[in-house]
Amino acid sequence: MAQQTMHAATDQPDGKSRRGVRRTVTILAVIALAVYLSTFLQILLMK
Amino acid sequence: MTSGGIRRSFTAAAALALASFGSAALAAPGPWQLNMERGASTWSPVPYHLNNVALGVCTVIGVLVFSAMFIAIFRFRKSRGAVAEKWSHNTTVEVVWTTIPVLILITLAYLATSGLTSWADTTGSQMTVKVTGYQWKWRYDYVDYLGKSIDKVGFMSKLDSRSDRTRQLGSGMDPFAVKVGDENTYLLDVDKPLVVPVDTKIRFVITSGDVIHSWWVPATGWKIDAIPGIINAAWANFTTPGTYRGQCAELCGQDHGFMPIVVEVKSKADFAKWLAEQEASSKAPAAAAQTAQVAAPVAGKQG
Amino acid sequence: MSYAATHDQHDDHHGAPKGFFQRWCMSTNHKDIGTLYLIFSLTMLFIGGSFAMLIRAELFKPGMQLMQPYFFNEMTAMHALVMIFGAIMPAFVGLGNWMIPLMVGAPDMALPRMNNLSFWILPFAFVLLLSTLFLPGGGPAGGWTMYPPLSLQSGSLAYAVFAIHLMGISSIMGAINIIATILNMRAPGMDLMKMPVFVWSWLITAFLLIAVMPALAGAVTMLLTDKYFGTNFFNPGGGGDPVLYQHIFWFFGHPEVYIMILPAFGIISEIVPTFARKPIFGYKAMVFAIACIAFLSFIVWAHHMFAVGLPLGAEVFFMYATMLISVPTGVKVFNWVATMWGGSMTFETPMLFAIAFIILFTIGGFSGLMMALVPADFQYHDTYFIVAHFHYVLVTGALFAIIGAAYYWMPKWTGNMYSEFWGKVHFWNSVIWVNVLFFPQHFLGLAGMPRRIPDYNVAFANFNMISSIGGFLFGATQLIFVGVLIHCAFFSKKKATDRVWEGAKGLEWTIPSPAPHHTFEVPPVINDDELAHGHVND
Repeated sequence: MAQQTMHAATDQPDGKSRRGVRRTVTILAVIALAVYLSTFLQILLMK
Repeated sequence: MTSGGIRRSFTAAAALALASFGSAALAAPGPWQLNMERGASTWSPVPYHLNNVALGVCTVIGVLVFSAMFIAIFRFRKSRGAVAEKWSHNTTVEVVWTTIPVLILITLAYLATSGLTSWADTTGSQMTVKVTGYQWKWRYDYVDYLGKSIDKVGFMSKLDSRSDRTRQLGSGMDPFAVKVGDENTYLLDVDKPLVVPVDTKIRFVITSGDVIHSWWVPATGWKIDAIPGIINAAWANFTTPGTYRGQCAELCGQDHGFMPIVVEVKSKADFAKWLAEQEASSKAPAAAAQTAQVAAPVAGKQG
Repeated sequence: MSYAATHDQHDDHHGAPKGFFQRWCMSTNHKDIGTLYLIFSLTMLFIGGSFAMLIRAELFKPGMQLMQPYFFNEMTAMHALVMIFGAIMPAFVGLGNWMIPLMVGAPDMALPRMNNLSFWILPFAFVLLLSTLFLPGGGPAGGWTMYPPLSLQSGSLAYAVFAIHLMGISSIMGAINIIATILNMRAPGMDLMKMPVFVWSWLITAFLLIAVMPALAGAVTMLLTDKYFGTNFFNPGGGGDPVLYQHIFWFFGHPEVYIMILPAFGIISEIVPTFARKPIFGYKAMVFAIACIAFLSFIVWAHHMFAVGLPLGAEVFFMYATMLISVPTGVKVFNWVATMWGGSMTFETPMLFAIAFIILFTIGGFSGLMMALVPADFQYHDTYFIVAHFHYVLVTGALFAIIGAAYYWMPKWTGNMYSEFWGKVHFWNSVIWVNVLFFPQHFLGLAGMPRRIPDYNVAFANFNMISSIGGFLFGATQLIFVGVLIHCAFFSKKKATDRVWEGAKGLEWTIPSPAPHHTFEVPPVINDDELAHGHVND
């Protein structure tokens, strides 16, 4: 609700700011997942 | 009770004076001890001096920074009519207070690195002892001494029975009463100590049979983890005969606090005699060896 | 420049929802969720604190008086887990939730629904974790670090692992939300280099969280499969390596300790300029120092492992990298002192906590520098010297900053002034007893008392008793804090002004007190003189 009010009030096109958020979230989520999976790569270090 | 309390506080005061000003090699921690002990091995003064130098450096920096802050707090109070200035930047002082710490750090790093390299050099040892941690006791196996391998000298070393009875929940026994001679040995005594010779570079190879433990006798100046599947090595060369006490330093389960380490450093002649006895008893039939092992700590205590 | 206080004209549609469930459980409002986080963290502070009281009670004198050693180990592990993941981290997330949108002029967090989810995961995670204390196997008793193989002996490992997974998911979502808010939702004109230092500190912290929480999740997942699914990641019997766990754990663990201190740096950088009435000294250096510390935190993890028998080269590298951290940290301390120099200072409770933070955190930093020196660390490692060190940086560091922040922003949250008298009573009692509690632990560690032992030689009796007395009184003192909070929120008659503090600068002080349910629906106009750090282009 609050969001819509803001976009209406600032004539910031709704899509643009949302796209920025979406891109940020996607990149960060991919980083988190990559770190999680890479911890398992330690199996390569084993004897 | 009262006289015990008075005597206790008197010894405490004496020990405090000793710990604060003296640098005598302490075999075990003392009441009111304020600083690290110097230790009793050739290497142990390294951490001791490094500790003192670093503490000194930190104290000087701390006094300078905190004095500046307290001067600011007293001079620039609104209640004294101070008016806020506007500046918020000064490149010169910023460069100065970034550079000076770097120089101090380089000095400390130099001292620490040379100490560390001497620690890491386990070559040229005259004796090897294998230390194995178990929940919750230590095992010592003598591997070689003066180039000769030792045959089947090894034993378990666990908390002495008096400490063990005293430490039980609701035992009603006084930990202050657990003593060997004048020394309070509560939780710092074992049934069978590790016996090693003085003035000998001893290589310890350390591992574990179950979980991770850490073998720590402060008099050596170091501790190192005993890890299952991994063998760590470290060395010590004791300079003074005596009894040195330590404890397991890595959480290893419910009795982590109850697996002390005692190292008895003997003169070379006494050690050779002790070793010969041990070898003889290990060669005797198994049953005889068992009784000898049980009897030995008792005899050792009385003697 | 002020925000048009149109709050009264709003219809119910824009106010807080009326029903309790609607308002708190279904909230998508950053202020309400921030409040939830803060209340949760205060609750956890007291639960974790009660564990600490039990620990100190058992250690009051030599001999076992109160509990079995295993229960003592459960207490040390749970105290750490609850305080780190339940008290300190959620408190910072709560402060971030409340203040970041207000400080950057955003109407709310970027992802309000996810914000709700991040919070409501936490109570379930802690119910799961704390319930182990009432289960037959007992709670995790292998320390918060959960080193295998010891942790694999614990019957409640699965509970602890799932609780940590939940906390991790919550933290990662919270961090993503904060980054998305800061990068995308700033009011026009709020450039990155004009943001308050607190916002900067949280931006960097959030990146640390995203980079390391998954590593912890991975490490504990491997513990889980080792125990229940027959893998051998850390089991030496099957060719695994227990030390690899420590590498992964501390790759998480060291950035984690900065996650718990960087937002504190941000808070202190807000409080000191306000009460010195002078802009923060060296704004750019402050931001750069935080970024430096964050970067260095990734290459120092093995300084927690100097005693595991690392190769000489590794010990030297990690020693140097660790020592390097004291440079940016020193810069921060010097800059706070320089901010005070030439100011016009008053000493309300938040400023007192900030000053105590600077002194006591620096003492914790000094002992940190000492233990960076590997040969000395061979003696310090796993002793009470370490315990003293990390309590100086976490209690008188992170916790004092959080308490200072609570006093600083409480009038903005509640609209009422807290009792300055009781605030000062709380401060002086805290600062005295916390030192009685932790300073003697330095001596204990140097004299040779290991960590995590339920009983000790009589030589350690004196300082342990002093420490325990300090502990009980420090714990009791925190009840004053609760009293001050309740009084401020519900009973205080003294209304707060919008600006609250004479020297306060920044967007959060331009809105009414208490902060209306919705703020900055119209983005504010940024006036550079109004920002806490003054002119950055000097």
